[in-house]
Amino acid sequence: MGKTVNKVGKKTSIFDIILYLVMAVIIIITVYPFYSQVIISVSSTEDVYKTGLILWPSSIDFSGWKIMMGYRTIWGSYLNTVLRVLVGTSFSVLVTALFAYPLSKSYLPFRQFFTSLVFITMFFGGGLIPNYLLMKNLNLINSFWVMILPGLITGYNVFIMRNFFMGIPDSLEESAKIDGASDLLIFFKIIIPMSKPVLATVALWVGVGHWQEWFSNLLYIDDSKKWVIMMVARKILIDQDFGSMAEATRNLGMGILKGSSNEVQIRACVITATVLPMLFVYPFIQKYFVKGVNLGAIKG
Amino acid sequence: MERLKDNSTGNESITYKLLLDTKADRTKGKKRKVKIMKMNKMISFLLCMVMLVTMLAGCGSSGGDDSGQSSDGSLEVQTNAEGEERMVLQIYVDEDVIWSEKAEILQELENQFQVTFEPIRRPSMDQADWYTLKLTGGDSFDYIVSGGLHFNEYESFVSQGLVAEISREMVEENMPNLTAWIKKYSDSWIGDIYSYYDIEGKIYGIPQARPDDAYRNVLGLRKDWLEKLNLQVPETIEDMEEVLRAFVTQDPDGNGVDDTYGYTATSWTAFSLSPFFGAYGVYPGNWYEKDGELILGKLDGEGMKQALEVLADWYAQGLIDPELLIQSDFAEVKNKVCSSKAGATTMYYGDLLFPDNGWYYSDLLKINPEAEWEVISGLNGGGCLQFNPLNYAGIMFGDHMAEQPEKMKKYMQVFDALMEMDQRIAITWGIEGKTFEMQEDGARVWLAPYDKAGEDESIATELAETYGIGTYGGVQKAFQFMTEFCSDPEQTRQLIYSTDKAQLDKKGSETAFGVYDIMSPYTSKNESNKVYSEALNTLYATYLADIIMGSRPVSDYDKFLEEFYAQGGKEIVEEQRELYKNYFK
Amino acid sequence: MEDAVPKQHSRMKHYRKQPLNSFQPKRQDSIWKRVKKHRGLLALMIPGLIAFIIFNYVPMYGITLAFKEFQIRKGIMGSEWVGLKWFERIIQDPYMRVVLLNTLKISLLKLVIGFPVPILFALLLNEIRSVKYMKLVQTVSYLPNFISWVVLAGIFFSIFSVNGPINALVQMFGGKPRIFLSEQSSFVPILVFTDIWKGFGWGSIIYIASIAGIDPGLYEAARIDGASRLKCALHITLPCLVPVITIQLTLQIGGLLNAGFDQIFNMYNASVMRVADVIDTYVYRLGMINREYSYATAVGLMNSIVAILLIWIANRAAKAAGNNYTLW
Repeated sequence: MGKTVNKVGKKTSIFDIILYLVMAVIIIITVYPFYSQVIISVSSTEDVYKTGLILWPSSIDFSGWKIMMGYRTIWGSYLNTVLRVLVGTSFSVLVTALFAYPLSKSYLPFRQFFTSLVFITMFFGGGLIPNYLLMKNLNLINSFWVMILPGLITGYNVFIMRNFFMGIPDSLEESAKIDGASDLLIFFKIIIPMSKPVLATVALWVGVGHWQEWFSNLLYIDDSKKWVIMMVARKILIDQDFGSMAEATRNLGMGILKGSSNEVQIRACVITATVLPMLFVYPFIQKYFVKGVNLGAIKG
Repeated sequence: MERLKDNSTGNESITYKLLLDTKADRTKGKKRKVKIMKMNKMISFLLCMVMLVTMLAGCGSSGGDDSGQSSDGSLEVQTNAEGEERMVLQIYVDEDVIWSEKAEILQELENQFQVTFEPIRRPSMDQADWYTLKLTGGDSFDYIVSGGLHFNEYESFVSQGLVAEISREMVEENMPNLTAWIKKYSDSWIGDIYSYYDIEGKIYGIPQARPDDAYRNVLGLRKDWLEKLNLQVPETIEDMEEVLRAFVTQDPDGNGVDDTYGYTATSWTAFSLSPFFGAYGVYPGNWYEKDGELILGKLDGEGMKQALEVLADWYAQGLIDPELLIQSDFAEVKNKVCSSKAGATTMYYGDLLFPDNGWYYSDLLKINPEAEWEVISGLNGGGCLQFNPLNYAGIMFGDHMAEQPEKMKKYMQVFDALMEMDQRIAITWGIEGKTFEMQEDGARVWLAPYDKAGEDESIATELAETYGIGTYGGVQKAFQFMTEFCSDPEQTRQLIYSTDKAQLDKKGSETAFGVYDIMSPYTSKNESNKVYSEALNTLYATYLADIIMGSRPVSDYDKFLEEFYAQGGKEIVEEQRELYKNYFK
Repeated sequence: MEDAVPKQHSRMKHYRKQPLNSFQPKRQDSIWKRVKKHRGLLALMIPGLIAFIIFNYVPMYGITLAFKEFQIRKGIMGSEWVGLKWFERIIQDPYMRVVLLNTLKISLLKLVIGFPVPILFALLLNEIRSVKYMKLVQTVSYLPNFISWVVLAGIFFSIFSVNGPINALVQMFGGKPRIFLSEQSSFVPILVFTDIWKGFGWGSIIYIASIAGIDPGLYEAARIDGASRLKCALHITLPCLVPVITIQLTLQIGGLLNAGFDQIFNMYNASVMRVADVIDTYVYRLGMINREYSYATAVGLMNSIVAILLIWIANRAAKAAGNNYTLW
């Protein structure tokens, strides 16, 4: 699997050493903030308020996690989010690719028209109110599909895919056409297999986008059982973040189930719980980004 | 057709074979061609169908959820299980609150008022935006109430014809408790409360107010530090300077590191520096009366300069947290006070006094069990920034209710009844003997197992399902609004707090003192304010920061005033004074 | 048959400028003939087209709000026209000029300094010999992208605070501690660099994916000719990235009026307002006083028009430079 071509000679040059060092620095500066959040999420209250570099908690305290996981809607929201990511990503990538492929052909009738059509959507939109009314009229309010259909295809992804498709040599298609293959067949049997990098990229973007999106929940879904993880996370943080101005200090008599906790810690738990899953999935997609997938030996 | 080769290094690769092999029989090829074309048509057709089905599925699936949203409040009466006809009243069920029709308290209320309650789901945050969006989308509600709705929303809704007209008489007839309450607390605001809700002679909202809002914010100092360093509780600015200096130089937290600040707070200076401005009789962010005229605090040059003189000096001496002007997040301040890096701040008294859930206190206690806050009203006899008790839009009825006056009256009666002590006890504590009991000293305690409801999720759930109260209690949450606003502080204390906490609460609210913005209900009517205020706020904030941090002399404040008036400030003040005359004289 | 030859000659000079995969139509077919000929292709576009029309074009009537005074009851259609009232307000507002300038300054800095970084990172990643190490660095580089600015603002606040690590370094070198986030001279650079830090890993994905699609045979051939790694990177990898770079650059130029609301909103403060306040933050604060949908729509419309203009210019420039991978 993977990298084959750049192994010019096996000796390690100075450049390689410097490169490795630079990358090590990059690893540290990109990981550290997240790492510190993970540590905070299990630290004792005292540790949380310490300033300076935190490398390891002095004592382990799961109370923040207990509070966060105690929210009734949290497990349901993980499920909702996974479902949304799977369904939304697959539909999106399929529809976008189906649209972008014809666009990559210069002989497509009305090509300029379609390009402009897509382009305009990238800069002009109706705004909150018409979209809300549209969802209402389509009966999508409080529906699972309201999170998937509106953003199904976006101009940016179309152009990225289109440009990638434009880079695929014609020769394969020409031969297939001579033998009578239809466009659909060519699409599924030739283009798709050769486009794994771009499909994986767009799938990654769309998938992560779905994982992180919550605004549609705010606008269109009132039923908290249908919420996705980021919406619940937001609620947790706001709930916990009751600054003095909020009502929560009037919150009443009995010990508050979710109250009097350390919102810095809860925030760290929320970040850990929402970002970590994405890291676990990534390795599966990574194999498509490896060189050599797109094969040569095609004479033009 | 070639078979595509692996690349020469033999790594894993993907090979392709086309479906048609030209070496094969031509006839075979033709047949395949036809077959493939048919398949293509099928596939394209299928894809279209999939899209369609998806859309239709999307259309259909929204029905049948339990949101119970009635979009035009059309259910007037319903015949219930016992064959009685009852009015159906909407109530709001926020988010993860559990709604159980069998809840005992709910049943009691329904029987008492002879109604059936129907739940409507609502988010617990961003309610003003939610209402606006829903109303724009054509939904309507029987009544609208939220702590997030203020006077400008009230006016906006009224001017757009979204709410029904009611009358003062109607309220006074049907809501005796509220009327008595209004009379009792009428000193908390200027003038007649109904005048605030008056739009061209008509009333559209049931008045709601929170007098407590004017008694919230205090100046807090670490009592244990004062004692340790043998300092008196400060009364004047000079005293305060001494205290702050001691905090900074004498290592009160005893950790051997010179890392303590005197005073810290957020960059919302109108609030966080208010005791120091208040000491000189100015409250920068507020409109209030001075010498018979309406002024905006920050325009009182004399008082402002005196205060700024002090602040700039303290800043230079290092008595004020240098990051005060850039930390907009209260959490930063919390961090500093709870880790004992700062000894003084301005805050809502509850956050400084309540050991169980005071935002600046409970975590501090976990780290430092000896810590304690002393609270004072202000310095030099002045106070801190307070809030206008009348900042809320009240309870409005949807415009379709204009045709159902009987129903509106019913709502009013139900809301009013909830102000009574018995009802409040019922929706907060449940049923005596079942969920709580009274002790000899008059305090209420939870009966087992409900005393553990704060820690155990399942008990809280049970409490909500069986009785409808508690953290997830549908009934409690739905009717809370009535007493979050117009309540009797003594009653509230009795009901909600333990005896200790009630005393702390009393102490705090009696200490809090200061001035609030009397024009906040009306500022949204000021047209010039809409246009110029943003830029002027920025102007003010930059001058303030520069002066306090020392990059400009205090005398530059006069320059600020010049620029302020020149860049639209004059218009704003004039218009504000007009409004003041109209509404308060 | 015979006429094919002279036609091809005349096409020769255009040959190089065409992308690899275009068929040249032999005759000027009528539009309907072409539609019929390529109906399969057009059919593939149907689902996407439906989605675009329903979810993007149907709601577009909302743009008219920029010319109307919005009344909830009347809806968008029923609200009255006020012509260019909002645009007049925008133009007459002296503060708008200030925020416009800030917006452009910040955006340009982010573009000029930040655009090459993901590309450079992708190229460097490509040079790492150990696959495991490369994958590790790549995965880890994505992390900052997933943390929202609300959180990052707090993190950077501590990093740049008086007692934070940066000031500790400054003091080690004999300097005095500074409040970086309150100084106008340091705030914008901090904005730019933290933004780059957040986005370079994620932004490099598209370039890495493109590099993965490069024919390895090209490298082999270059190797045989004795090219060094640097030469390979400059003459093979980079040129193969031109299609993707073009699109990215064009679109980012189009986004010039968007200086990063989330980041700035969470990080700015009164001391740096003068240089940090941008169009979006200003309009947001304006909108908070009253829910002025119409005004906000007008500003948004203005932004969109400028963005399109910018893209059109960038597109033209790219075409003139001989680039074929432009938007049109």
